[in-house]
Amino acid sequence: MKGSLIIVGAFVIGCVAGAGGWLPEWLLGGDVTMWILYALMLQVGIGIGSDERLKEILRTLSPRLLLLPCATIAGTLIATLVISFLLSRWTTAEVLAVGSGMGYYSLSSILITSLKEPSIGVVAAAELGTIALMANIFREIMTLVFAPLMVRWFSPLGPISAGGATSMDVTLPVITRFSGRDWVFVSIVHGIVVDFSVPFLVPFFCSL
Amino acid sequence: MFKIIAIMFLGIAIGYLVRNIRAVKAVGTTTMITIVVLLFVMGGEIGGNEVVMRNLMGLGGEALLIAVAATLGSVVAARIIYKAFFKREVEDER
Repeated sequence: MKGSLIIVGAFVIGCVAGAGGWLPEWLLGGDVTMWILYALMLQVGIGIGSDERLKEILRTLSPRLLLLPCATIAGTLIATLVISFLLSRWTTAEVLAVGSGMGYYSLSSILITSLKEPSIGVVAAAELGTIALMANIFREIMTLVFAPLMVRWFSPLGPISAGGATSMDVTLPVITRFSGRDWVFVSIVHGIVVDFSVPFLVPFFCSL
Repeated sequence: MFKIIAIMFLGIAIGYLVRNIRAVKAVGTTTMITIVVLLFVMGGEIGGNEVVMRNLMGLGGEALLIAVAATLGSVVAARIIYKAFFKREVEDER
Protein backbone atom coordinates (compact mmCIF):
# COMPACT_ATOMS: atom_id res chain seq x y z
CA MET A 1 0.00 0.00 0.00
CA LYS A 2 2.80 2.37 0.92
CA GLY A 3 4.47 1.64 -2.39
CA SER A 4 1.42 2.60 -4.41
CA LEU A 5 0.86 5.78 -2.38
CA ILE A 6 4.41 6.91 -3.08
CA ILE A 7 3.96 6.14 -6.78
CA VAL A 8 0.61 7.96 -7.01
CA GLY A 9 2.12 10.88 -5.09
CA ALA A 10 5.15 11.15 -7.38
CA PHE A 11 2.93 11.02 -10.43
CA VAL A 12 0.43 13.62 -9.17
CA ILE A 13 3.18 16.02 -8.05
CA GLY A 14 4.81 15.58 -11.47
CA CYS A 15 1.49 16.35 -13.23
CA VAL A 16 0.94 19.49 -11.19
CA ALA A 17 4.52 20.65 -11.71
CA GLY A 18 4.25 19.96 -15.45
CA ALA A 19 0.91 21.73 -15.82
CA GLY A 20 2.22 24.69 -13.83
CA GLY A 21 5.20 24.93 -16.16
CA TRP A 22 7.64 24.65 -13.25
CA LEU A 23 9.72 21.90 -14.79
CA PRO A 24 12.67 22.67 -17.06
CA GLU A 25 12.22 22.03 -20.76
CA TRP A 26 15.01 19.43 -21.00
CA LEU A 27 13.23 17.18 -18.52
CA LEU A 28 10.08 16.80 -20.61
CA GLY A 29 11.31 16.02 -24.11
CA GLY A 30 10.83 12.28 -23.68
CA ASP A 31 14.56 11.59 -23.83
CA VAL A 32 14.98 11.81 -20.06
CA THR A 33 12.11 9.34 -19.57
CA MET A 34 13.84 6.94 -21.95
CA TRP A 35 17.14 7.18 -20.07
CA ILE A 36 15.45 6.66 -16.72
CA LEU A 37 13.68 3.67 -18.23
CA TYR A 38 17.00 2.28 -19.48
CA ALA A 39 18.49 2.74 -16.01
CA LEU A 40 15.45 1.02 -14.56
CA MET A 41 15.68 -1.95 -16.91
CA LEU A 42 19.37 -2.39 -16.12
CA GLN A 43 18.51 -2.53 -12.42
CA VAL A 44 15.62 -4.92 -13.03
CA GLY A 45 18.05 -7.12 -14.97
CA ILE A 46 20.66 -7.01 -12.21
CA GLY A 47 17.93 -7.95 -9.73
CA ILE A 48 16.97 -10.98 -11.81
CA GLY A 49 20.55 -12.02 -12.57
CA SER A 50 21.59 -11.91 -8.93
CA ASP A 51 18.43 -13.66 -7.76
CA GLU A 52 19.13 -17.06 -6.22
CA ARG A 53 15.99 -18.39 -7.86
CA LEU A 54 17.19 -17.53 -11.37
CA LYS A 55 16.77 -21.15 -12.52
CA GLU A 56 13.22 -21.29 -11.21
CA ILE A 57 12.43 -18.01 -12.95
CA LEU A 58 13.74 -19.40 -16.24
CA ARG A 59 11.54 -22.46 -15.80
CA THR A 60 8.43 -20.28 -16.15
CA LEU A 61 9.06 -20.21 -19.92
CA SER A 62 6.46 -22.56 -21.39
CA PRO A 63 3.81 -22.64 -24.14
CA ARG A 64 1.27 -21.82 -21.44
CA LEU A 65 2.58 -18.27 -21.55
CA LEU A 66 0.57 -17.62 -24.70
CA LEU A 67 -2.69 -18.01 -22.78
CA LEU A 68 -2.25 -14.72 -20.99
CA PRO A 69 -1.97 -12.40 -24.03
CA CYS A 70 -5.07 -14.05 -25.48
CA ALA A 71 -6.91 -13.43 -22.21
CA THR A 72 -5.76 -9.81 -22.15
CA ILE A 73 -6.99 -9.17 -25.68
CA ALA A 74 -10.32 -10.94 -25.06
CA GLY A 75 -10.89 -9.22 -21.70
CA THR A 76 -10.04 -5.80 -23.11
CA LEU A 77 -12.31 -6.19 -26.13
CA ILE A 78 -15.28 -7.59 -24.18
CA ALA A 79 -15.13 -4.79 -21.58
CA THR A 80 -14.66 -2.12 -24.26
CA LEU A 81 -17.60 -3.55 -26.17
CA VAL A 82 -19.80 -3.25 -23.07
CA ILE A 83 -18.70 0.32 -22.33
CA SER A 84 -19.28 1.37 -25.95
CA PHE A 85 -23.02 1.42 -25.25
CA LEU A 86 -22.46 4.29 -22.82
CA LEU A 87 -20.61 6.34 -25.42
CA SER A 88 -23.36 7.42 -27.78
CA ARG A 89 -21.12 9.71 -29.85
CA TRP A 90 -19.06 6.85 -31.22
CA THR A 91 -19.93 3.53 -32.82
CA THR A 92 -19.07 0.26 -31.09
CA ALA A 93 -16.36 -0.45 -33.67
CA GLU A 94 -14.78 2.97 -33.05
CA VAL A 95 -14.66 2.41 -29.29
CA LEU A 96 -13.20 -1.06 -29.91
CA ALA A 97 -10.52 0.53 -32.11
CA VAL A 98 -9.55 2.76 -29.18
CA GLY A 99 -9.59 -0.16 -26.74
CA SER A 100 -7.50 -2.36 -29.01
CA GLY A 101 -4.66 0.14 -28.69
CA MET A 102 -3.76 -2.01 -25.64
CA GLY A 103 -1.76 0.80 -24.06
CA TYR A 104 0.30 1.37 -27.21
CA TYR A 105 -0.81 4.99 -27.44
CA SER A 106 1.53 6.39 -30.07
CA LEU A 107 0.75 3.80 -32.73
CA SER A 108 -2.96 3.43 -32.00
CA SER A 109 -3.69 7.17 -32.06
CA ILE A 110 -1.80 7.68 -35.33
CA LEU A 111 -3.50 4.68 -36.95
CA ILE A 112 -6.96 5.79 -35.85
CA THR A 113 -6.51 9.42 -36.91
CA SER A 114 -5.33 8.47 -40.38
CA LEU A 115 -7.58 5.46 -41.00
CA LYS A 116 -10.81 7.10 -39.82
CA GLU A 117 -10.33 10.37 -41.70
CA PRO A 118 -11.89 9.23 -45.01
CA SER A 119 -15.04 7.89 -43.33
CA ILE A 120 -15.81 10.33 -40.48
CA GLY A 121 -13.88 13.46 -41.50
CA VAL A 122 -10.75 15.22 -40.29
CA VAL A 123 -12.16 16.69 -37.06
CA ALA A 124 -13.93 13.58 -35.76
CA ALA A 125 -10.93 11.41 -36.75
CA ALA A 126 -8.58 13.73 -34.86
CA GLU A 127 -10.89 13.62 -31.84
CA LEU A 128 -11.06 9.84 -31.87
CA GLY A 129 -7.28 9.75 -32.28
CA THR A 130 -6.92 12.03 -29.25
CA ILE A 131 -9.26 9.78 -27.27
CA ALA A 132 -7.08 6.81 -28.28
CA LEU A 133 -3.96 8.68 -27.22
CA MET A 134 -5.41 9.61 -23.83
CA ALA A 135 -7.21 6.33 -23.14
CA ASN A 136 -4.06 4.33 -23.78
CA ILE A 137 -1.87 6.73 -21.77
CA PHE A 138 -4.40 6.41 -18.94
CA ARG A 139 -4.22 2.63 -19.18
CA GLU A 140 -0.45 2.72 -18.88
CA ILE A 141 -0.61 5.15 -15.94
CA MET A 142 -3.28 3.13 -14.15
CA THR A 143 -1.06 0.06 -14.47
CA LEU A 144 1.97 1.92 -13.09
CA VAL A 145 0.03 3.49 -10.25
CA PHE A 146 -2.28 0.63 -9.24
CA ALA A 147 0.06 -2.32 -9.86
CA PRO A 148 0.31 -3.18 -6.13
CA LEU A 149 -3.48 -3.22 -5.78
CA MET A 150 -3.90 -5.22 -9.00
CA VAL A 151 -1.57 -7.88 -7.62
CA ARG A 152 -3.62 -8.08 -4.45
CA TRP A 153 -7.04 -8.12 -6.09
CA PHE A 154 -6.43 -9.82 -9.42
CA SER A 155 -3.36 -12.05 -8.93
CA PRO A 156 0.26 -11.38 -10.03
CA LEU A 157 -0.93 -11.55 -13.63
CA GLY A 158 -3.21 -8.52 -13.10
CA PRO A 159 -0.71 -5.72 -13.82
CA ILE A 160 0.74 -7.71 -16.73
CA SER A 161 -2.64 -7.85 -18.48
CA ALA A 162 -3.44 -4.26 -17.52
CA GLY A 163 -0.13 -3.14 -18.98
CA GLY A 164 -1.12 -4.63 -22.33
CA ALA A 165 1.52 -3.97 -24.96
CA THR A 166 3.60 -2.03 -22.42
CA SER A 167 4.19 -5.09 -20.19
CA MET A 168 7.48 -5.67 -22.00
CA ASP A 169 8.89 -2.17 -21.51
CA VAL A 170 7.37 0.79 -19.65
CA THR A 171 5.37 -1.19 -17.09
CA LEU A 172 7.83 -4.10 -16.81
CA PRO A 173 9.75 -2.58 -13.86
CA VAL A 174 6.63 -2.15 -11.71
CA ILE A 175 5.47 -5.63 -12.70
CA THR A 176 8.75 -7.23 -11.60
CA ARG A 177 8.67 -5.10 -8.45
CA PHE A 178 5.11 -5.91 -7.38
CA SER A 179 4.18 -9.21 -9.11
CA GLY A 180 7.66 -10.59 -8.48
CA ARG A 181 10.65 -11.56 -10.61
CA ASP A 182 9.10 -14.96 -11.32
CA TRP A 183 6.75 -13.26 -13.75
CA VAL A 184 9.27 -11.31 -15.80
CA PHE A 185 9.32 -13.66 -18.81
CA VAL A 186 5.56 -14.08 -18.72
CA SER A 187 5.39 -10.30 -18.88
CA ILE A 188 7.84 -9.92 -21.76
CA VAL A 189 6.21 -12.63 -23.90
CA HIS A 190 2.81 -11.12 -23.09
CA GLY A 191 4.00 -7.63 -24.14
CA ILE A 192 5.45 -8.86 -27.42
CA VAL A 193 2.32 -10.80 -28.41
CA VAL A 194 -0.11 -8.04 -27.40
CA ASP A 195 2.08 -5.39 -29.06
CA PHE A 196 1.99 -7.44 -32.22
CA SER A 197 -1.81 -7.54 -32.17
CA VAL A 198 -2.21 -3.74 -32.19
CA PRO A 199 -1.37 -3.09 -35.89
CA PHE A 200 -3.87 -5.78 -36.83
CA LEU A 201 -6.75 -5.08 -34.45
CA VAL A 202 -6.83 -1.27 -34.71
CA PRO A 203 -7.11 -1.17 -38.54
CA PHE A 204 -9.63 -4.03 -38.39
CA PHE A 205 -11.98 -2.12 -36.08
CA CYS A 206 -11.40 1.10 -38.04
CA SER A 207 -12.58 -0.64 -41.20
CA LEU A 208 -15.88 -1.88 -39.72
CA MET B 1 11.32 -1.40 -27.56
CA PHE B 2 13.68 -4.31 -28.03
CA LYS B 3 16.48 -2.07 -26.85
CA ILE B 4 14.80 -1.97 -23.45
CA ILE B 5 14.69 -5.77 -23.27
CA ALA B 6 18.30 -5.98 -24.50
CA ILE B 7 19.37 -3.65 -21.67
CA MET B 8 17.55 -5.87 -19.19
CA PHE B 9 19.38 -8.94 -20.47
CA LEU B 10 22.65 -7.03 -20.11
CA GLY B 11 21.57 -6.36 -16.53
CA ILE B 12 20.82 -10.06 -15.98
CA ALA B 13 24.36 -10.93 -17.16
CA ILE B 14 25.88 -8.28 -14.89
CA GLY B 15 23.69 -9.36 -11.99
CA TYR B 16 24.70 -12.99 -12.45
CA LEU B 17 28.39 -12.08 -12.44
CA VAL B 18 28.17 -9.92 -9.32
CA ARG B 19 25.57 -12.04 -7.49
CA ASN B 20 27.91 -12.81 -4.60
CA ILE B 21 28.60 -9.17 -3.78
CA ARG B 22 26.41 -8.18 -0.87
CA ALA B 23 25.76 -4.60 -2.07
CA VAL B 24 23.82 -6.01 -5.03
CA LYS B 25 20.92 -6.78 -2.68
CA ALA B 26 20.25 -3.02 -2.51
CA VAL B 27 19.11 -3.11 -6.14
CA GLY B 28 15.49 -3.58 -5.03
CA THR B 29 15.59 -0.28 -3.18
CA THR B 30 17.28 1.64 -5.99
CA THR B 31 14.75 0.16 -8.45
CA MET B 32 11.91 1.54 -6.34
CA ILE B 33 13.56 4.97 -6.20
CA THR B 34 14.01 4.97 -9.97
CA ILE B 35 10.34 3.99 -10.46
CA VAL B 36 9.29 6.98 -8.34
CA VAL B 37 11.55 9.32 -10.34
CA LEU B 38 10.18 7.88 -13.60
CA LEU B 39 6.58 8.42 -12.51
CA PHE B 40 7.38 12.00 -11.49
CA VAL B 41 8.90 12.82 -14.88
CA MET B 42 6.06 11.03 -16.72
CA GLY B 43 3.57 13.05 -14.69
CA GLY B 44 5.46 16.17 -15.70
CA GLU B 45 5.20 15.18 -19.35
CA ILE B 46 1.46 14.55 -19.12
CA GLY B 47 0.86 17.77 -17.18
CA GLY B 48 2.95 19.71 -19.66
CA ASN B 49 1.29 18.08 -22.70
CA GLU B 50 -1.03 20.73 -24.14
CA VAL B 51 -3.06 18.31 -26.27
CA VAL B 52 -3.87 16.17 -23.24
CA MET B 53 -4.47 19.04 -20.82
CA ARG B 54 -6.63 21.07 -23.25
CA ASN B 55 -8.88 18.08 -23.91
CA LEU B 56 -8.89 16.74 -20.39
CA MET B 57 -12.46 17.75 -19.66
CA GLY B 58 -14.21 16.78 -22.90
CA LEU B 59 -12.49 13.93 -24.67
CA GLY B 60 -10.67 13.00 -21.46
CA GLY B 61 -13.88 11.76 -19.85
CA GLU B 62 -14.59 9.41 -22.74
CA ALA B 63 -10.95 8.32 -22.82
CA LEU B 64 -10.98 7.62 -19.09
CA LEU B 65 -14.14 5.54 -19.37
CA ILE B 66 -12.61 3.41 -22.15
CA ALA B 67 -9.32 3.12 -20.26
CA VAL B 68 -11.00 1.98 -17.05
CA ALA B 69 -13.11 -0.56 -18.97
CA ALA B 70 -10.11 -1.91 -20.91
CA THR B 71 -8.02 -2.17 -17.76
CA LEU B 72 -10.75 -3.82 -15.70
CA GLY B 73 -11.59 -6.27 -18.49
CA SER B 74 -7.97 -7.33 -18.77
CA VAL B 75 -7.29 -7.73 -15.04
CA VAL B 76 -10.43 -9.82 -14.62
CA ALA B 77 -9.31 -12.01 -17.54
CA ALA B 78 -5.86 -12.25 -15.93
CA ARG B 79 -7.38 -13.44 -12.66
CA ILE B 80 -9.39 -16.12 -14.44
CA ILE B 81 -6.29 -17.35 -16.30
CA TYR B 82 -4.26 -17.30 -13.09
CA LYS B 83 -6.81 -19.36 -11.16
CA ALA B 84 -7.28 -21.83 -14.00
CA PHE B 85 -3.72 -22.37 -15.19
CA PHE B 86 -1.09 -20.87 -12.91
CA LYS B 87 -2.23 -20.98 -9.32
CA ARG B 88 -1.86 -24.69 -8.59
CA GLU B 89 1.74 -24.77 -9.69
CA VAL B 90 2.67 -21.72 -7.63
CA GLU B 91 1.15 -23.39 -4.58
CA ASP B 92 2.83 -26.72 -5.30
CA GLU B 93 6.21 -25.06 -5.26
CA ARG B 94 5.65 -23.65 -1.80
